[in-house]
Amino acid sequence: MRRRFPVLRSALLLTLLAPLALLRPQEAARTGGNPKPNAPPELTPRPPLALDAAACDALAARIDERIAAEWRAAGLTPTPATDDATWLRRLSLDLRGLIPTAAEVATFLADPAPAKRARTIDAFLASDEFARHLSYLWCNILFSGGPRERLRTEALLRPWLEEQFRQRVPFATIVEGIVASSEWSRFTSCTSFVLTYQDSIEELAGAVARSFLGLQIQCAQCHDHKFDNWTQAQFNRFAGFFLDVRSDHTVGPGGKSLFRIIDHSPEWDFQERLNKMVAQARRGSAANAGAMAGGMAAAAMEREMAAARMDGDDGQVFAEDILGSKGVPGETMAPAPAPSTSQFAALEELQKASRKAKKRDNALAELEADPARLAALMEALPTDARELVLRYQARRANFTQAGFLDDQEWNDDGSSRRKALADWIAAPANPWYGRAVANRVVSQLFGTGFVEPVDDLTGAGDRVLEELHGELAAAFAAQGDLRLLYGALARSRAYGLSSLPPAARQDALPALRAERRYAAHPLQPMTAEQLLFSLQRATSPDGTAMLLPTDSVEFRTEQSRKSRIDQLKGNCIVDVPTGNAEYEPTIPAALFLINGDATARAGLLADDPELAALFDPATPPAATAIDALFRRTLSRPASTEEQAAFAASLSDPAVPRLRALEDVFWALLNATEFHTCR
Amino acid sequence: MACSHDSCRTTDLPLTRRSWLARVAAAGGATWLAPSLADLFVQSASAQGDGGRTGANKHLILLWLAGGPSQFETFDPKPGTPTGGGINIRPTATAGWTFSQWLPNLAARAEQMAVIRSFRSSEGSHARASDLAHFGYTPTPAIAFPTIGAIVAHQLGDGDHPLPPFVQVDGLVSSSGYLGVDVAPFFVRDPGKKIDNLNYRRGVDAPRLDRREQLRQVLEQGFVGRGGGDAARRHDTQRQRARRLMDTELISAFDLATEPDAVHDAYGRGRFGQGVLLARRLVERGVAAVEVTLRGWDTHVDNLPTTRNLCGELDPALSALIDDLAQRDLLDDTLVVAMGEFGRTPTTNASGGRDHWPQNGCVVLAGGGLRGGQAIGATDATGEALVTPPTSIADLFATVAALLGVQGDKDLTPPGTRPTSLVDPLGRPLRELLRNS
Repeated sequence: MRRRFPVLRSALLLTLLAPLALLRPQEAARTGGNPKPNAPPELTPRPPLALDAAACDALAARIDERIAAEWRAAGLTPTPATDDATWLRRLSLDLRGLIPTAAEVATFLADPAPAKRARTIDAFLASDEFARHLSYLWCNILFSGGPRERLRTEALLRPWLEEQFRQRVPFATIVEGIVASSEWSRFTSCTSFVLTYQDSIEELAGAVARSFLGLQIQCAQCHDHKFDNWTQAQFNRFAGFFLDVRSDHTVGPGGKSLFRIIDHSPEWDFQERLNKMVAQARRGSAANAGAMAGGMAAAAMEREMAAARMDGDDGQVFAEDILGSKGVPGETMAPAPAPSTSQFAALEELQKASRKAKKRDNALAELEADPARLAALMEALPTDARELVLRYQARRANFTQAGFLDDQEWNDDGSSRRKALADWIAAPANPWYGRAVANRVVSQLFGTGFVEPVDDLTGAGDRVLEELHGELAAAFAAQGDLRLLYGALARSRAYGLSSLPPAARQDALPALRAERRYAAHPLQPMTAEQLLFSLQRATSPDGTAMLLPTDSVEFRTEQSRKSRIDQLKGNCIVDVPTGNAEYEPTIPAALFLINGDATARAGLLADDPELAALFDPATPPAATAIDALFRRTLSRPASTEEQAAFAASLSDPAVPRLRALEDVFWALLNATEFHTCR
Repeated sequence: MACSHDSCRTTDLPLTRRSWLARVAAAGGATWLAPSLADLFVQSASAQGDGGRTGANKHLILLWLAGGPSQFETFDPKPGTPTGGGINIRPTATAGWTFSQWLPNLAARAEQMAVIRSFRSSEGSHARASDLAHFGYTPTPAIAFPTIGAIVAHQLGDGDHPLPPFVQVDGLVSSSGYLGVDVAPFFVRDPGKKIDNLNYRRGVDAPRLDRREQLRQVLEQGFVGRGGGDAARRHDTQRQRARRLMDTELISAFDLATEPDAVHDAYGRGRFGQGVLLARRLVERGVAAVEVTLRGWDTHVDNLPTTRNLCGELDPALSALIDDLAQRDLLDDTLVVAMGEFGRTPTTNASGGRDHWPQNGCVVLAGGGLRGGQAIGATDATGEALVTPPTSIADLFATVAALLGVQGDKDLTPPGTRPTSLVDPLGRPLRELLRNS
């Protein structure tokens, strides 16, 4: 037992000292003559937006006109308009991320008003479910291709996104929050995007360009792009907007860890690290304040996360995620072995020569002016200091000059680089922002964007309806509301078309097929999120019964939901030209559908009055029960053949009615049609 | 007796599957069953009936030491130096080669192992270094890379085998990337627990599930008629794989309770030890790739006690695995790799920890027909620098590919990208480890 004491004592010590961790960098900055970090950027205030239905109508008319002209030019005949039930299910999945209730279907079908579709669109756009659905869509966009460990930070960003969409803030505010925020946050926050990618500003730059501009500049990271016109120099200037990104940690009220992204110049970082090396060399390893602070932060976070740990949630790795390498992205500094006398002298010389440099001035200017002196010094430095110099030089050479992708230069006036980038991205004049967002929305609603692949606007891919693309982009960029695009596109005639019958599908070359020019609606598998929320709606009216945990700890709930969703994610094979897609579940996803709570216990839910009534052996007639289950799941009545086949299964006297109905319900929930947005 | 490798060879058609087919036939209900499923069961039956071992012929077991293990307290000790950490060493079965004192069982098996002491990572953060080590390529969002387990499963797995070709125990969920769901990792969080949703639900037996499936097929046929053909077919294929897994007798691989107490003790009773035991049972039954994670190696604080405890899990589990595979004549066909994302610093920080050190670290290899009893690469007296050329992750992947007979240079074209080799062609296999070179 005595062995435990040192551990306990160090834990106490860590808790007591943890609040000091934040102070150390600034202290060091003052004592070491280090340039001050940038002030956090002031974000632009923008009021919430109201949906402009008249603008949606006008834009929809424009869309109809342009697309009809495209059909004529391509010699395409659009498919007939789809029926009301299919349209409502489609709209609900596209705008709310889940199927409509049976009651909603019935009300909609019974409504004779000609304006019922537009009214439903606007109601769905105003719903909280729209905000939730968009938060999932944008999370998937923002994190696609990130590190495998991103799952944890992903779960942090999504609730923040949902809240922004719910409050109807302009999309530019969301972009700014994600790219430029420096606010302290605990879990739910926009900063988790930058935190996720902080280990590589190159990846961060690539993710921002891909998500908000629809540009694939990533390949130009290593070489001038082979298929595109991006150069490595352009890439480096763009990544230069993230040059100053550092993660920061403190302990807030109640001993809770808080995180933020802060902007420190490479000079600040270089001198900070150099000062630590010198201090360590001078006083021995016990004075290694940096490692101390890092260790404390990691330990504090680990303890906290241990409390929130659960199946599928690795608190320790999460803490690592957030804390990252605690400094320059992409680099990991290690404390050096104790240096020799000559190494120590070299270290001090380096410190002395570099500390004269002012903010943003080359910290090595004095030494670089005398190459022989620098070479000799480099020879004499300990390994880690030598690597620090080389990394500083490389970073300064590649990323100091920030510049926009339209080759506008950016003048370094000491303000936040990230804020400047966010302003440029979401400006109406940006040549890609509006087009990128419009292309995403079109692709989501129609399975195929104006430009494919959807995030490669300047690539060698396929393009249709370029004028319309430009018009939608301009309308969005001017107004700033995603709902304008959704409202207008969902009102269009093209959105209401039916899918092609199977015989017609193989007739044309892929790029000439009807779906590519919006003359037929594609079949699309639900996303994992749509499937999870639809299963929940079909089986459980109050929406929380069994699929989602009910505990109130926000992060755990989000993690748990995330692991459910991940379980359902399979492989989605998209036929890019037409947007038709096929879903292949993984084995665990298939097992979940076959044996999981959602389908296996369906029908045993006595808390749903409608289901309870259906399952009551006394009432109602079999045909009514079957029909009600079809409407509840597939949002349509049973066909004659289906009614006959299912009624036969209910008429077997050997099978109790309750069991037979459960089997019907299971079959409906497991049907490919249930998993498809038609 | 537990299902050993030999008894597995002679396993007859599992009763559950045979009886299920019979039931379907007797009920005249075979028409609803997709022909491919029925065919598949028959093929499976004949494959097992002729006594041949089904599944993969070669296997990979990756023991992932998450966080980056300290080389000083494991496989590259520097006793008596300022960086050494004050631990003692253990002579191995090979003259002049030492492990840390906390790996006594592995030291006795050094003749069957090789240690790469010159492993260098090009990434210093956990997320990126861990992805690099799993992909064999620098991670980039432009390509959804498969992890090494999925690559091996894709190349060596038997698609007709009832068990998934790649099983992962604990850790971060791997990805099959552009290789698709066929080789997606079958994820087991805790080997001591039942697999989620694998069993028939209470009140739902096989005949009832068949009846449900029959009803579902009514819906599928209607949907195919309305244009949903492709979607329905892909969905069906994966459901059949899931059902096959529910019905195969080989699923007993996951039932560790059938192993004697002594075996549990030998591997260790923790999640990792049990996961390694599961890995052995899966490999015996033809699974191509298994990854088992041992977490906690990120010892920024209190390196010595933490690493000692972790060695206490790694040492018995890996030793028992080597012994069991050898005893079952599977060691030459099964490559075991134990590694983390990077090594740790020569100096100890103020919290008694060691920090990240991508410059050099250790990778342990055993089995797979390699030449054992070797250390590849070396560090200087204090472990601060390599005195031999570094071994990159690409070199390691090339070595794994060469040992397992994976066609590493196979060109594939992931959707939307340029052709990519499964394994980076720039990597050079470590010839010293290959027997016939």
